[in-house]
Amino acid sequence: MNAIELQQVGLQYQQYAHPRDALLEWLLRKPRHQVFRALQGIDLCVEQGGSVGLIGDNGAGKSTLLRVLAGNLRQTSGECSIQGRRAALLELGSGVHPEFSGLENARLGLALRGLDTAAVAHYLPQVLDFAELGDFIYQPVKTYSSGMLVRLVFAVAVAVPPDVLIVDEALSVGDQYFQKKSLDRMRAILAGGATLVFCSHNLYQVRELCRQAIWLEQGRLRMHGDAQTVVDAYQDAVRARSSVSAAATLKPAKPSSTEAPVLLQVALLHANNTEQDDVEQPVFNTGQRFAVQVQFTRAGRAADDVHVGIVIRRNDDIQCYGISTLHDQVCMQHNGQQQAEVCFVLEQLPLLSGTYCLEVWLIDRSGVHVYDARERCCPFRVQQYSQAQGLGLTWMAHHWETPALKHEHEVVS
Amino acid sequence: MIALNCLQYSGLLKSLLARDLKERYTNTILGLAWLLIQPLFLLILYTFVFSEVLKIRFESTPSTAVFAFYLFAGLLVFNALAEVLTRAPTLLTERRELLLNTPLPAWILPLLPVGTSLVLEWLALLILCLGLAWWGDMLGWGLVLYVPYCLVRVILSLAAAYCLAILGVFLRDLRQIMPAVLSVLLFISPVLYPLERIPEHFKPLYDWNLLGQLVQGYRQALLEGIFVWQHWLGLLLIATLCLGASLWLFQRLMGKARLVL
Repeated sequence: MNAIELQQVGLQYQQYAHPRDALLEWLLRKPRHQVFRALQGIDLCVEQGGSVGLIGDNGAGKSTLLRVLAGNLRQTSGECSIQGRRAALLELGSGVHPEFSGLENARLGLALRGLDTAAVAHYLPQVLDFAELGDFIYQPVKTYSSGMLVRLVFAVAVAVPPDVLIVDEALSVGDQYFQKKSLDRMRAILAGGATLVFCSHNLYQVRELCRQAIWLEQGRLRMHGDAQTVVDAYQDAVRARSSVSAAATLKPAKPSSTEAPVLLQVALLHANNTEQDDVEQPVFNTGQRFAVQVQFTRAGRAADDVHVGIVIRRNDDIQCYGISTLHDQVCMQHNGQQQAEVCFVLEQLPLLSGTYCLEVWLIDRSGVHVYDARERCCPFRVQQYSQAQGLGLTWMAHHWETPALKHEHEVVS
Repeated sequence: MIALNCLQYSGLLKSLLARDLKERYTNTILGLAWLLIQPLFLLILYTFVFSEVLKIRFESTPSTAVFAFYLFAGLLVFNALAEVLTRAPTLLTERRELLLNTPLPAWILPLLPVGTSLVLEWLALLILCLGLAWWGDMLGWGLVLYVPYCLVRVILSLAAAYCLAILGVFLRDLRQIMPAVLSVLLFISPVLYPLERIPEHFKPLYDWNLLGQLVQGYRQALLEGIFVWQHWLGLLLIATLCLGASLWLFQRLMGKARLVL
């Protein structure tokens, strides 16, 4: 059964220059508003017990979508059906009264969720217990730090385990201890068969907590799928955007003279080439064989005076690895031909998911002089099978030591 | 429908109302006593000006005390309505956060000032009864006759609250206008003076002054023990029609109001 079903949900904000225009419009039956499409054509299905992460830039429509899901905003087109009792934790500090104590606010918050006096009395101790605010619970909420406030608000929101839990960014202001506690609580609620919609800029949390993810861009669904894939794609896009500005400042290196050696071809050699021929960006898997073939002319130089350097860059301009035949002291083949060829091979590609490209340099034996260069060529993508390979830039050789085990032995002996 | 919802939300309504009353008097030295001090202060002021200085009399009795009782019965109604009228225009805009971010149903909000006004009215009524009893003019069945008029007052207040609350979202000026409207209302209604003092050619106009009619009803019930049921039925009918119209308006415009809150 689907807990959440959205069909072509769209939401238009009617923006009025002044509140009175809305009234005049209704009276005079003449449009006086501008339309702002906050959401367009959102399709989403989440089965009961599922979890979906919501990512995207600021202003992409995440909060609006959450409000629609929470039932605080009505979509202007499409269908939205939610099964069961929902609890939403939206903007921080909404629905609390600053002059009132935490206790009074908790009581009111529970009443706002439709509990009667007896139920409020029943759940109140649990809320206070979870919030762990100590004697501060009797102080006015205006004296709380934002972290304390989120403790209170979260505790109220999850007091009665909901069928659908909707959580916005707010959690991130809590301290590490409470973040963990609240994440654990959300996981427990999920395990109890509830459905979770989680919006965060902490992509790690999204990946950890959610099975699916959706990526919103300018009110539209840019991508929907398995959380790992969507988060990777989103991160790629963010990196690509930040590197555009950097790329503009880079000057292309010019060959020093016309008679100098030049690069002829740089090509990625892929294990299963057939699949990759039709796409712009070849895809490699972490741990797969990765090879780059570089062809160049020697232009009459001595074989050991023309070396090839390769740099792998991620699309946010991070240099992942750079090495050259000069530094590796490769003996360049001396077969007398003017065209030469060299292959850079990684038996097991250690890079993790992301979009990368190559920089290839043709340098002299001093390593200072550059004959020719290609920057940002051969873009390729790396994907990893699972989070199990770790996260970040590359896989690193490692092992774990568990002193606990040793300790146990000692205890036994 | 609304009655059913009220039942479901009675817990919420109760705590909102308690919070509403407290909210206005937390951090004040005299606290809830302000609810009593304000009407008493006005009573003394108006009694001095209208009874002692301007020599106005009700029922052609020369007693200042009787004037004070008549005045107080009128102020009972007026203060209760004033509470609703001053607060209604900002009711929704002040709770923007709650409306947009919590499952708070919007229709519950206009009930708050009406609830508060009822508390105010009953506190004042208590004082009035104490005063009457002390003076020896207490009419036991007056309180029974008062109940139907109180009902009309509440229905009328609800009508005003729903209408002003929703319009206040679109017309932010309403908040500034209300004090002036209230002053006008106080002086054109026979609250501070008896209906008999009005010149004959203005009388037909006064027949349509709902506040005036309501004050008349309150006075007859509480002070004279008279209940004219035709009068009451007419008022009830008009008040119910007003409430129906303003509920319709509220429902009709709430969707739009959310957009401009």
